[in-house]
Amino acid sequence: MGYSVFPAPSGGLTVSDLITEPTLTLLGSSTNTAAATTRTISSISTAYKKLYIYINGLVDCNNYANVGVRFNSDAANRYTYLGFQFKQTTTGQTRIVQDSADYDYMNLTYESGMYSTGKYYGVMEIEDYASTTSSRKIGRFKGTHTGGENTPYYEQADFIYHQSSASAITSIDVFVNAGTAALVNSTSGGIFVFGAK
Amino acid sequence: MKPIKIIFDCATQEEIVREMNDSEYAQYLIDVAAWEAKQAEQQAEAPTE
Repeated sequence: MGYSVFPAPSGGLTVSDLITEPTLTLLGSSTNTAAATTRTISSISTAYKKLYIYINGLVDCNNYANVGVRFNSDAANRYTYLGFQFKQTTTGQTRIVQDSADYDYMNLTYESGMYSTGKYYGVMEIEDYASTTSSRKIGRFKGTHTGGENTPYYEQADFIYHQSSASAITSIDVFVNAGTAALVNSTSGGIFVFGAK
Repeated sequence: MKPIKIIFDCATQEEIVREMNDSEYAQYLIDVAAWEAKQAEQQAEAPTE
């Protein structure tokens, strides 16, 4: 039984393309320990494929402030968020405990990974952030914490969002909107924005 | 005194710490009012024991 040997195709993906991990470049960070109501990362380069935004230890656990994330300071409801929160109980069950939508910013509760360093963190992945095509999904946020009153304990908030704005994302605001609470970085905490090729 | 805003500019790698300007402060007040209204709505809808 014979077989044919086809020539290697020209162009397209190479083995190197398939095995090379994406390179992360730190574009900017906000680690100032001064209290602030809003922290902004601005003038973000559009030369990357994705953004990864790592948020950790921004708010004192005792304040329980509501924390929002807004792109391009755009408050005109051009971004829609659909959120699910998963909680693992002490018996190992995982259940959805909350969903949310219809905000002009992404609403992160204290379960979503904004609080003390080491226990809570959140990673936002923004796909295709530099595109100017409207009506597209642009990414998700995952926040996790372990520990708490009923250890072992695990929660995850998963937000999927899309935008109808025809603008590249070049600015990200993280802010509190609950009374006098402020964003204060814990040791080694802060906001870190990475670009990925 | 208006709330503090910390801005990190990725292009210049410089950080600015300043008070919110008028338009930022106006949006902040809108966000706070919307959040407080939502909280009041949720409390009104919460089942009583």
